[in-house]
Amino acid sequence: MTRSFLTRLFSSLSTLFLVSLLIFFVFQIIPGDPILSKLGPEADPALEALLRKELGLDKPPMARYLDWVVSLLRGDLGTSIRFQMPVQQLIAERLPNTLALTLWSFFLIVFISLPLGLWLAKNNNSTLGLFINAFTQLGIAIPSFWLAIMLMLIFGLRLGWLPIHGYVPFSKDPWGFMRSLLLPGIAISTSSIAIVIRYLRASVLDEMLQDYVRTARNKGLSENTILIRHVLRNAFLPVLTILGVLLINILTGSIVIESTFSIPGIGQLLQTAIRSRDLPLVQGITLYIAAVVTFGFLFVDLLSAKIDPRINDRGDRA
Amino acid sequence: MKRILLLLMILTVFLFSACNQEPPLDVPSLKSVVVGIPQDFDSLDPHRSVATGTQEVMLNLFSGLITITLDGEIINDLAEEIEVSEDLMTYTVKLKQPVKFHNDQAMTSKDVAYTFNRLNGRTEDQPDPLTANFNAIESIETPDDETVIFKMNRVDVAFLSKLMIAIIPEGSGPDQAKEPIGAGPFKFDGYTAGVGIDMLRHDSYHGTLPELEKVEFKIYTDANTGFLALQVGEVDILNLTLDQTYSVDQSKITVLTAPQNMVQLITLNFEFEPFQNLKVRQALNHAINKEEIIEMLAPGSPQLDTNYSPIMGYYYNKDTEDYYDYNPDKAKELLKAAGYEDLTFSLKVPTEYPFHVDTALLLQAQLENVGVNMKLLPIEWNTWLSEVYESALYEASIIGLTGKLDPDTILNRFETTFLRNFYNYSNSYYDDLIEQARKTADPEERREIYREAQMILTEEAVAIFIMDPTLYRAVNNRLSGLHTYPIGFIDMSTVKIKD
Repeated sequence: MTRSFLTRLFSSLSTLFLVSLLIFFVFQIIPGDPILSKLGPEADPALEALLRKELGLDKPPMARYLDWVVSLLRGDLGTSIRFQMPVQQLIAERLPNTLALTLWSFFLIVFISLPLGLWLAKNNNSTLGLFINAFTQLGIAIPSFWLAIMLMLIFGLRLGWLPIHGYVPFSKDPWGFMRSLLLPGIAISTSSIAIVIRYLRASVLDEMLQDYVRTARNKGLSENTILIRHVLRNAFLPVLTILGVLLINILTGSIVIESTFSIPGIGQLLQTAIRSRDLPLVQGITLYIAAVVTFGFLFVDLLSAKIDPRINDRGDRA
Repeated sequence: MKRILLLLMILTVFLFSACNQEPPLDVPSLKSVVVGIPQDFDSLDPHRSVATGTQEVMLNLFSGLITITLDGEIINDLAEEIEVSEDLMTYTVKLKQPVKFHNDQAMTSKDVAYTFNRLNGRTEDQPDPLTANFNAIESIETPDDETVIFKMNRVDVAFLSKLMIAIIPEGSGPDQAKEPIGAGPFKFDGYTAGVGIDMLRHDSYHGTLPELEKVEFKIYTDANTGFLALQVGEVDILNLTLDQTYSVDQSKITVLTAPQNMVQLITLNFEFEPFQNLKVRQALNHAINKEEIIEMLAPGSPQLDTNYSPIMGYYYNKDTEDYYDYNPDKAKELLKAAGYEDLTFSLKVPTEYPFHVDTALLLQAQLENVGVNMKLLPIEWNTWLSEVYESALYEASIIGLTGKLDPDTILNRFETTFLRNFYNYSNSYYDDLIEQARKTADPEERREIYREAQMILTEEAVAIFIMDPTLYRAVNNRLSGLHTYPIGFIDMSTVKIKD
């Protein structure tokens, strides 16, 4: 277990090193200068020169990269060029917003898609079942930014129930903070809900054809008991992997939704960082994303092993 | 299953309760206004910020020795009196008293000296200059708490107009980027990167006390979201596009219009051979129907034929107006005479600015009428800054150049030695004029020089100057008293909430 974890950690760190190197070289090739991007056409030559000196941008590219690696080994992610603040601080400030949005979206995904998916598998051929099926197709097809604007128009503009851009920091107004995440959460989770419903339905229908289900029926168990006690446990495994991927996706920041609702999360920060050619900030966020992906998949594998002991902690079936 | 049902019920209750608009706590309501802005700040430190978008917000926090009126006239602010020696080598400033900074510290001459020394990189906490704007200052003397004497090393006639720079308390420089402190009508109350900045009224403000107690500047990176927020009343003040002005609910929102002191122009790179020919440049100017462009994209905007907005009335040369009438036949003749009947060139346009993209599309159609093939090359803003602004790797481009208080900072953009002379224009007579204006103290004489400089830009058809695009600023009808200035400034100190 520990060995496997360490192997994974080592491979993730190597990947991260390669990714950081790749990003660094891409940033050298693509056009754009972080100082000009920050100051714009009004740039004062003296201030421009000073900022280049202060942020070490007057050094050769390789020296800058090595500086970044050395600082990283000391636990310092460097200073953002755009914001002139420590990268750690910027990520730490944005992380709670993305985490809250993730929790809320994931809550919606789990508690809407699981019961609906099960119900749909059980009532596959009913009229309502067909309707929900069609609805899930629509849910996958609708782009999240379009849904976001529609939600704003309906709940914000027409009905006036929820704020369009009501983001307030949790520390200032916890209630306002939660209200501001309602619509973005729905916009993010809709397509994921549709995906999980379809996956779970297909997986349950597959399992229902297995021999053990026939045996259970012959034993006289009710359909609900068979479904929840026996089928769900087996049908849930592929869904768990999908849920893991969805969770990681949301955790690493929904660039489109965070921007549309102006929520200062990781996604919006990454967008600003790329637009501003803010290399230290992009590198810092990449590090965060790599960590989430590594530990996210590790968690999913461990959970899979717990649910089905035949699966080892590397996610392989024994 | 029961647990799932229970959780679903909790979720439903949460959803419905969250839709309830009543705030949960009895928060005392302040006279508060929300202003929507399109971008984050380049720095909260007033001496490290250059972006117009930052300036128009931060001017609410800071006061300078001078300020401007609605017409762009310079008047004293923190200065009670400014005495200028005949040779323009000494400026004696008597400070207004009492003036308090946001931290309740009284302003003295030491703070003023610190401010300018910091800008010039002559303080312990700032050893490098932050700007080249004040390098004409040789030394600063503070004979008493209320008097500051600036000794100059050379004549800088624009010096007075530069004194609008924010005065900050002595020693506060290193902290300004985190917690800006000034002497303006509002004080800093918090900033969240990507979200916005909050300000509270500065109750010890030295001028007329604002009526508003709180102002929130919220960042809306998505223009559609900002517009929706304006319509539902979440935002009180917001800049709009022309399209958006057509769909505002006029019973709730008023749209103010004003010139921006900006010049929208097609820059022509003189390194590109056809543009070295005066006839070609003149032909392009005649081929463009500016009236049509203005009518379609920004009705009411002043049409331009030089790099200066009429909003800065005193120095503006009216004779440049309508210098190039819309005359496609003449354009064709000129192109023929120049030997460029089938001229083809590319125009790099920054995609982040839909206004410039729309203008470019109209221009393309108009130029086609005279046989000119203009290819559009849409590029990202950062690429524009690197390729066009920094490296001049382009044939033609379109951009808006922001105007400043002093004509030197506008007209020097066409000087041969200007750091970002991305048009590669060089005219020694023009250079001499600009240099001469810098040393001319007499305002009348200086005005004549600048007017001549503007006429040179017109006659030489250095670029295709189009317009000073109208600013459309939406204001919720519950407010009154919002004014527009010839520089970027959303002045909240005069805004009132109607009863």
